[in-house]
Amino acid sequence: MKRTTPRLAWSAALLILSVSLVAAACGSDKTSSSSGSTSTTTTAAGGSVSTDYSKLSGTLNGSGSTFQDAFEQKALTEFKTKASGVTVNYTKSGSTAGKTDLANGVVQFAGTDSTIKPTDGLTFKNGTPLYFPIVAAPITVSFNVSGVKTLKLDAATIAGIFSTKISTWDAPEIKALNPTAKLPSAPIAVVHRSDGSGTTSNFTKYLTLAAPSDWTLGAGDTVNWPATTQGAQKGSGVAALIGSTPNSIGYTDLADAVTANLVYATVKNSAGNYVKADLAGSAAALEGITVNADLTYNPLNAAGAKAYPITSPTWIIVSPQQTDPTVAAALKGYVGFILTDGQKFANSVGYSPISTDLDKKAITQLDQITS
Amino acid sequence: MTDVVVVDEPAEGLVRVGSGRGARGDRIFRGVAGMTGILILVVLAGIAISTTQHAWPAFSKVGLKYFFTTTWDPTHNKFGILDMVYGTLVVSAIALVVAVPVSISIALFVTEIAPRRVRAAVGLVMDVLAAVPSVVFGLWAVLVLSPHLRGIYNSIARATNGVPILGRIFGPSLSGRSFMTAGLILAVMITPIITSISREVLRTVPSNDRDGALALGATRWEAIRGVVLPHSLGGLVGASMLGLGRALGETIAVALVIGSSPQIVANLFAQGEAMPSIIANNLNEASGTHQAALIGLGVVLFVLTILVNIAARRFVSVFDRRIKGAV
Repeated sequence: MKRTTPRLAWSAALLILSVSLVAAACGSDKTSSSSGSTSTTTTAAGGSVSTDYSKLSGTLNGSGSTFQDAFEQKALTEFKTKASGVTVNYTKSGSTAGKTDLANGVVQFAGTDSTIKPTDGLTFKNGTPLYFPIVAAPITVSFNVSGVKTLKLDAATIAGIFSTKISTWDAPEIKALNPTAKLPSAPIAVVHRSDGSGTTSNFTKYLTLAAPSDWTLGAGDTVNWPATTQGAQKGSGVAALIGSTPNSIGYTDLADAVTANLVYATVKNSAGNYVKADLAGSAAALEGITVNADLTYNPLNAAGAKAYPITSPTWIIVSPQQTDPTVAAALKGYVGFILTDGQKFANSVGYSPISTDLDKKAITQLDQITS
Repeated sequence: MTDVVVVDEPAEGLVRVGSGRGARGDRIFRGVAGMTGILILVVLAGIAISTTQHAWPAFSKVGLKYFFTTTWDPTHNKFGILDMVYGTLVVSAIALVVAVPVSISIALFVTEIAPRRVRAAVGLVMDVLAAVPSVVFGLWAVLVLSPHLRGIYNSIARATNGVPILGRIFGPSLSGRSFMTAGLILAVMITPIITSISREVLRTVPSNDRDGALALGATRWEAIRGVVLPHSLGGLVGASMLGLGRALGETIAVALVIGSSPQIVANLFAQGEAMPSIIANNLNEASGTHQAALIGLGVVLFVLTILVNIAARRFVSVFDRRIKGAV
């Protein structure tokens, strides 16, 4: 043991050295390709931002939405390679906690899946926050019925199942949409989130919008689910419970459904087409939306032939009046990076980029961050 | 004090103890001990006051309905906690019913029957079990236990279907996550606590009493029933109450396996919700009245735990008096 220790230390040192050499090589590669200047102009889906990332410095702390965490982690790692002077941290504390942190000035930016409501009872010292839409992703209706690999559902049927009005798999409502599927006469085990969640909020909002007469439980982070349903913690917990429970159905973010190898339903959109829950579907949902002046928008039950109807939006919110010019510049740099380069790697971490039009508007809004 | 000691000219050792320096040490010790004692009370009072203060918006807005209704619907600002109170009580009761007989049996085995070497081994295993973090139990229960239990629950449900009371208590289970699973996991978690305290309690039985009973011709079981158990009953109840205290407040393991669906049903194999687990699950995303209502659950749990402890103390004192009277 003792004899191997120095050798181990040596190989570790060598490894670190080689990694840093490679990093340095990559770094110099990039600077040379931008013809002597460190300033890079990035053109993304629709807009372009010219920022000298290398001049930025400081630390940006963010907290909030769990839903956008995987994207944030990827973005802040990628951002670090361009803006080595800036350290970005993101804590997935939940959308509500994120908004509260921003209101209290604990963080420089927050992630949220829902807009700020008067009922949140928050006062933002540095002005009403600016919304920057960053990415979107579909919420799947995943199920576990042996022998059934595809399932077509519409909003009214989903509402019926999740409010337990439709209680068995061979109910006429489900059969009517899936005449060829071998549906068992077993009771449906409905699985939902047990923790307050933006996913629950968006899923129930969709049902409220698309099936107002069939969905009576309302919309929110936590709704009063019927007693015969089951709760599980976090998206991964819901996916695991569906995976281990025969004849179950539940809603979960696409990434969790894919990780747990679940099959999920194709859902009828407002154009009458059955669309698979994938990133192309959520990207299409963002094409057919109306964007409000503050860049909030609702991608749920969106118009468009290829739009997946249960698409979840997510935003970064930032206070417009910054006290520290360094922080303001770093914030603009980071959000700008997400709106340009970030859109390109969104797909690789399970999100779809926002539409070209929305992206342009968001990039223009960056100028409203002042110090 | 020192004067008296010197005048009486006692043994050398006592003089040294009673010297001025020793008295000062006494005073310091008394001061420090008293302060820590008071500090505990202050901290406890502080917690009670600040949680009540944070929960007040819910108490005042919802009123008595908070305590006596069953609808928990944050979306429509309805907060009734009875479902969760029921869940916590049922789960803790299951845990106690399962854990107490097992724990006391283990403790009896260790103190009365087992050879010395086995005694040490069992003691060690119990201590290790007590040190396992609750989230490990919870994960094991959710990933391994509950899918298996689902099948067992459903066959019990089929067997008892139609039997008057049993048929209602043992109904079908959707996924295996239920009051019963949570209760069983809690039983595993509180068994080490109850066992190790019971073991210490049983050790305090004077061997003269036990030997006397055996000498009078009592069998080992008769000696346990007639001498050992009556002598230590108060302590055993105390041990069970400490276990109950942990069961009432256990959060993560219960949150993972109870199924998170607030309801009051007789079916122990159905999913429910407990007070600590709903707090843990929802506090992050809660704001306004919802947040206050969740903190209010903490206050209620706090009061419930105090009530249980007071009840246990009274129970112990009444029993002690009765048994000592009988002897």
